[in-house]
Amino acid sequence: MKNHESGIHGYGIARELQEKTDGLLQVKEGTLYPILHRLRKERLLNVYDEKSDSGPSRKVYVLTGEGDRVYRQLTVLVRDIFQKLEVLGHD
Amino acid sequence: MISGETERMIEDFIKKTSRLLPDNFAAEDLIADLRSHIHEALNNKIRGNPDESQSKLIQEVLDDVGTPEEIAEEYAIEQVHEPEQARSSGRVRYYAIRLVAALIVVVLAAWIVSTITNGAVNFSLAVVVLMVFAVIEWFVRAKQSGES
Repeated sequence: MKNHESGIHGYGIARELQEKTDGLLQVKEGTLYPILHRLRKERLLNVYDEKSDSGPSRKVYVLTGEGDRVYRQLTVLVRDIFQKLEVLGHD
Repeated sequence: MISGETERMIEDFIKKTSRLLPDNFAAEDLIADLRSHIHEALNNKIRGNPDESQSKLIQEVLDDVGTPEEIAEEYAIEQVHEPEQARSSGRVRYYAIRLVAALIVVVLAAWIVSTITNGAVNFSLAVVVLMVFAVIEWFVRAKQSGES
């Protein structure tokens, strides 16, 4: 939740995807950026530059108000799908 | 500290990717993101494996990032996903702004030429000639960038 408010850079997203899903969601890290750019174009993400100790400055992506709304909507939808699948599994 | 050889490998990868992307600001932005991602990932790996050779580590980083072809393919997919209506209304606005800007430049240029030559160059003739040049330039640019 903290990342949604303070933002996260592309490399951080790749690391989180790998760590939090135990490597289940393996994506080629470079392919994240076209997706991030589209979300930015759709005004679901904002971006600001941040200095990096390790080289060129990096972009930090933050959810916009609309992005946050869509994120919450999708979270509810996915939770709902899993709950229904669980019910089906018990039947 | 990233060695010269490693920097060269990074730049080779960036150049290969750039060649597969269109020549526009969005693609330049994407390249800047990739460059900063690669540096960040490499420095992280160097900190975790200080005794490992940089050429091995950069190879691992580039494997994780994906090939230039995979990145270009994803870029193309994301462009296709743009809402068609938004794209066409944006395109109309873009062409309208370009047309108005071209007209302003042509009229201004014709007026300047006519004024500094004390009317030796006819203003209307200058407008027509400059408009013809502007239209030719427009077609050449459209052909180069593959616009329809």
